[in-house]
Amino acid sequence: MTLATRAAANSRQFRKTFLAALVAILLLPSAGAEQAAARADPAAAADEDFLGEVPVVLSASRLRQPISETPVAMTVIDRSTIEASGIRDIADLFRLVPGVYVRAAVNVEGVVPEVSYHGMAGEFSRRMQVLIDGRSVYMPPFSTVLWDDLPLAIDDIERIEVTRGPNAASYGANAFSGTVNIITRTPVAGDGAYAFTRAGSQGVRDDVARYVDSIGSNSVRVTAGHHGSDGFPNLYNAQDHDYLSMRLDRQVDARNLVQIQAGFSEGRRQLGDYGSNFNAPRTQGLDDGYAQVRWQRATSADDELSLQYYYERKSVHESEATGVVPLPGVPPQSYALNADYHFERNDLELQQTLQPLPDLRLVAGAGLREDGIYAPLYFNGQPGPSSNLQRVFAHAEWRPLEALILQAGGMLERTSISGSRVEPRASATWRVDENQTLRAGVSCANRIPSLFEAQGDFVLPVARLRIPIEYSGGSVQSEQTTSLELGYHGSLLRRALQIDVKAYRDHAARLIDEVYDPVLSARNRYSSVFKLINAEDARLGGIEGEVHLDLPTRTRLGASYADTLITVQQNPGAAPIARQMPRQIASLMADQRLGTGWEASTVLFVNTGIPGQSGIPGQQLQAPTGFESRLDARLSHLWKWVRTEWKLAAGVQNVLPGFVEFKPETTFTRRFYAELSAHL
Amino acid sequence: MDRVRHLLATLAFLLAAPCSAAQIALVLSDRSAPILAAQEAFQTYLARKDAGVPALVVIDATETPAQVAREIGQSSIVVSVGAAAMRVVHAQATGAVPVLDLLVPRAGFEATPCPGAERGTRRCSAIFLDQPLARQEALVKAALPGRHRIGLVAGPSSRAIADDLRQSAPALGLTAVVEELVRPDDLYDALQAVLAESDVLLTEPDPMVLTGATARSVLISAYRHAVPVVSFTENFVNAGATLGVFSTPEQVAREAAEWVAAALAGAELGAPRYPRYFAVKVNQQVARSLGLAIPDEQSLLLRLSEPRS
Repeated sequence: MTLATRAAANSRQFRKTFLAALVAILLLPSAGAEQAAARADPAAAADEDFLGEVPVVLSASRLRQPISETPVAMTVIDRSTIEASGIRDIADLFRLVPGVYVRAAVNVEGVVPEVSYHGMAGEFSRRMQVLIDGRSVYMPPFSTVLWDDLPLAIDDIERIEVTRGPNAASYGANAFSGTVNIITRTPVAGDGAYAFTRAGSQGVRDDVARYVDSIGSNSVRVTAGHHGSDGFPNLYNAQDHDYLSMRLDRQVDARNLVQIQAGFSEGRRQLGDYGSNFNAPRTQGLDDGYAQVRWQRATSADDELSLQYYYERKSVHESEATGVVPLPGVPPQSYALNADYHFERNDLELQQTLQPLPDLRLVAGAGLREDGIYAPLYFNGQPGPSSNLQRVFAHAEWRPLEALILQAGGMLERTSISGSRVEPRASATWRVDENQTLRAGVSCANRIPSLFEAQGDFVLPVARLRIPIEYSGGSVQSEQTTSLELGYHGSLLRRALQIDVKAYRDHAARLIDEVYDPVLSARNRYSSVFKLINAEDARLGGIEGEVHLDLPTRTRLGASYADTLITVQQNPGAAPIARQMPRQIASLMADQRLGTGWEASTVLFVNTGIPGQSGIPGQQLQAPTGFESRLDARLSHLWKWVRTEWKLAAGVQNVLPGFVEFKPETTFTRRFYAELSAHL
Repeated sequence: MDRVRHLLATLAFLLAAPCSAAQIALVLSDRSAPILAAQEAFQTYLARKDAGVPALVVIDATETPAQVAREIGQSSIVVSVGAAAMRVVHAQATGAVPVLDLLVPRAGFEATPCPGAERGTRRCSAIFLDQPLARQEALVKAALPGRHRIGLVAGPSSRAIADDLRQSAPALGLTAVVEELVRPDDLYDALQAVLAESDVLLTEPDPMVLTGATARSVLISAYRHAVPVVSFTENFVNAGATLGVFSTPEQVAREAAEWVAAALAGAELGAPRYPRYFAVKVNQQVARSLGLAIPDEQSLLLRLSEPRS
């Protein structure tokens, strides 16, 4: 059996096991009815209800550090913001985070959303660490995050915590410019069945069905969904995916909680360019499956041990058809290439939180990870390198005075790709008064090269020819960044107004990027050749912040703003980082509850100084454009009927025409949508 | 270790007590930690009282009804600890002997018929598990001064408290946000409705709202809405409620010992009431996570202990 067929067989096996487990769980006998009857009778009150031991529910990992005390600037996007925004793509949510640039990128994956902090993404969103419930969703070999193919309903998100700044000391190597932690809703405090459907312009069609129930000490959530659209009108980029996911929380006893999650998704994506020789229009299939187990033992709110293991596999099936390639001595014809790749990850992590002294809190842990990939097209016919990682980390929070918090942390990591590194961080927070804090911090982070950056060799085998496209220059070193930050957080007007402002200066060294290789390109009749090297250093500096206002008139306002200046010492021929981030990015959101279940909201995104696209010598350079904005509006109505809660909403994305992001082809036209949901 | 202490306390008690005709029956729901702690404390406090201390017989509620009835029949006063013990004692008592129930919810006590009640004399009394509403309101005012909207999800057991809350809130500058619960399945919706409109959530010993299983759901929902929870037991504060005013088993036992000593000296058994001695606890981790600066437990206790003007 070839590797490819085995991969497909493993996928099917995974799916069957998952579905069987799901059915078993749903068939668990429901003791719900008898319990309910018992609870209705006051004379039958049980002693253990009120005198018995209650498990520590708000344990260290569940309690979020107040934003005023975090060592690095942080933004939280909560459920009500997600709902009011009317945003359907998870990647779009990050437009609300100051300093984050979201755009549609066109690359080897087709048209994919690219989310970067301060533009530091290169092609593949690879400089941020992205986690879903502690599970990293990076995908070798390019260290991409396929935002559109996550097996996650945007509805299942409890909140998203975005750490704006290197957070390597908590979240590991690849938390280079920031961390996104997507936390899903626990089934413990949820209820019943839920269905949702949305249809809109550009063939948008999303459906979600969810069921949440608690049976004794087990709480389970099952979600199934579909997410699809035709994409941009002038590009071949329709995509859709179906997914099924499950989460089970089981309170084993007063101290121990076990959480099991699993899911898979199956998607299709169109990519390619009409008229391109090597990038002809074609369809790609994507499969994603994961299983995760987490055991938590909490004896009190500040003493918790957790052990987590997860397994993840992703596959991309693609038969890449080349355009007509004129080879000597052969009539012109098209050739098909096998561009399949897949990867597997096993990750184990142990973490302990404790409070040895009243004013000292410690978190420490260790982790192991193993990645294996199969991607022969990108490694010149070889399956591809595997990568092992071991890490140890610790973080301490000390309050020598009531008004002063000192935090320090570090991570020691060793990888088979690029040796060991230490990533330290330190910060101080001064509580000016009950409602305002000042923060100063410094942190270092390293980003290990992706497998492709380290050892990639992308060569197209066409008949007897081997056409090089892109390769790693070899001896590519880790990137390194040092970041200094000053911040302010205020909670004013009796907590109605929240302000967070940050000023920073970063130095990023040895940034890896693709550089035009003139020597090999000259020799290659068919295409330009690029080389991956440590291309440049960059200095970033700027100021950014956000404001949230909750008015008693049931109005919520939120605004974010970032002004970023990047200067680069670059290699000629590199796609300079300086041109990948608009000078100013702002967002504004207003949400008004109008009474009797009506709610209106509007969101405005503004970019100035959009970077132009630099290219290969000889190709036209696009000048930066001036000012781009996108205005969305939404109206929804919530009502109860037949013991069910219904919600009907309609909205427009991009009321004003033509929001250009990066390239004219990815111009966002005006889009309408309508949605209906029911919650029993 | 606990068992040894328990044994020593019993021995000390027995040695301090000369033989006497009076006997107290102490009926325990089970042998869990809080109930044993109450028993131990009861014996200790009783031993400190004047001479003429009666013998104490400890009975498990799980013993056969005939056994229980016999022990009760031979006693001058019966003290039950826990709701299960209360039910057994009320079922087996004849009304000849006064009964004092401890650590029972008020609604549970009132729903359990008392033997001898038809004769017009009060034979059953109790020290409730609940805290008086006035004390809870005072705690909210002292610990969370900026928070005015007090939420409560009220099942059938808490109707009286809900009414009290609605009446007393305005005078204190507070607004009551109450959602009445008819069926257990509606708990989730009722919680969401109350949490959306309130600044602090009260909890009461209401079996439709707060059981072992729903406790987690209540804490997580409240935390999601960034609403602090006020608890009536210490366990719940440790689990994640932001603060609590409660009476420890030791404190309840102390008050019970005072009652029993007075009753044995010939006084009438007092009316069922809320506990007199109480403690305050704050979960600083949760408070900090919610951005709340709550005064320390000592000063809160002092504030609550001040006589109402």
